[in-house]
Amino acid sequence: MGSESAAPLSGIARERAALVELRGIVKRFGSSVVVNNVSFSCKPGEVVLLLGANGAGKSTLLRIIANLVRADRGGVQRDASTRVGFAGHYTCLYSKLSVRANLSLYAAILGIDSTGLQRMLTAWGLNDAQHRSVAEVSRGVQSRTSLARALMGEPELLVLDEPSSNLDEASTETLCEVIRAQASRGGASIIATHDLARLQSVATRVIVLERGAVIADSNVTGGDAAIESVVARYRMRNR
Amino acid sequence: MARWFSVLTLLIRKEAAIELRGKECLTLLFCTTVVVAALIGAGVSSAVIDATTTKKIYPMLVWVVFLLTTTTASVRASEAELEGRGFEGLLLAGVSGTQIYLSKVLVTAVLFFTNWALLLMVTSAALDQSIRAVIGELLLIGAGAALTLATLIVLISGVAGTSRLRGVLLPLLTLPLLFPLFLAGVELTTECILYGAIVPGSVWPGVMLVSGAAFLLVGVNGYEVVVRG
Repeated sequence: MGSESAAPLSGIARERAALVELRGIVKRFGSSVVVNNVSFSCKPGEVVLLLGANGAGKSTLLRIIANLVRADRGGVQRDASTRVGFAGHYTCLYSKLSVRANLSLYAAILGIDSTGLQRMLTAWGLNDAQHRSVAEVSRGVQSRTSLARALMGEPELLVLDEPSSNLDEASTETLCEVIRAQASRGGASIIATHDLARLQSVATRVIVLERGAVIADSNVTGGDAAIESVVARYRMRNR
Repeated sequence: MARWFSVLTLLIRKEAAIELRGKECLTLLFCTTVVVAALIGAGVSSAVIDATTTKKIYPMLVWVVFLLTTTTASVRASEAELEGRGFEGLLLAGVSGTQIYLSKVLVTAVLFFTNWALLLMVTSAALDQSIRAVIGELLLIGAGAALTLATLIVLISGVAGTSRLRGVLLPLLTLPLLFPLFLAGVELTTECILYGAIVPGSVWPGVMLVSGAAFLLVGVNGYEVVVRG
């Protein structure tokens, strides 16, 4: 599944090998094909927005990339040392523990000291809620905690499923900054979203899924206009 | 290796913190134990069963209550993990399924053992049995049983938790696999109550050990596959 546009990626990103490569991924649930022969690779520095209607297969594809779901056919290739930060529909948090206790657990597992943990709490505006249990805080705070968890230890590959859906403007801006910083360090992000307006500024590439298959795949280093052109073509096709 | 054990310790602390915060499993275990033991005590008393017969059936009654209460509470063994899919975050952070499994087994075994100790107190009072002379042996049997039971329950609750048939699957899968433990437990407790000690050369400690080792082996190797679904 090659790129429609030949717009070049910047310097280092073009030269280095892909952080993750998908080859002919197929996933079925019962008789319905949720992901249909999807192939693409994601290089360092890339921020891929995965677009598509509800049920297009975005979430399942992300879970396959994060190695949380096995594909029925095809394979995901990535270096064993590449760490994946994943935030999906589930928070991956323990509702009875406090926000801080949840993040402390992951910090300790990843060998991050208390200064790093405090930096994370501050960056995501969690200082006030840190001692409250996850079950007691708002959905927005849960989402921020989940993102802080996923981004802990600066993973090379970020896999985010509708990360901005419960975030306010300030938190979305923090998320965009983190994604940009991560890309500039040589990392990559694959983000499924319906929130194009708030996340298009970070994208370098857009992939559109329809009924599990890739129907558009374009580099959009030209900026917002380039993304809109891909989306417009996708909408035209759907008329 | 030190890192592996330090992560295991973190997970054990996490499991203990979750239980101590909600005390759901403890409350369910203790309440069911007290209620069922009191009901059995009242039933035996009203049936006017003589002291010798009561002494003979005591081990079986203790084990029926123990397995009933622990399997009832076992629904909660993987609840916290499955609720927010915490295990996915742990797996992505590089934690192995084996570490998650072992941490759960150890904390669950401590809960079950505490329940066993309470059960001995309550049933001995309700059925008027003196167990003071063999309490050491009974606690040893309880420790082995709690560990064996936890290795099985954590594994099965993981299987049942990822299935839509969880309510049916848990007892269906657990009960047949509990038979060796049940038999070994009843026989060992009977030896203690009737003869004052575990009979030398008894095969039942071996049966309990082997079934525990078999469940542990399957759990250590298969828990990650099970929770991934």
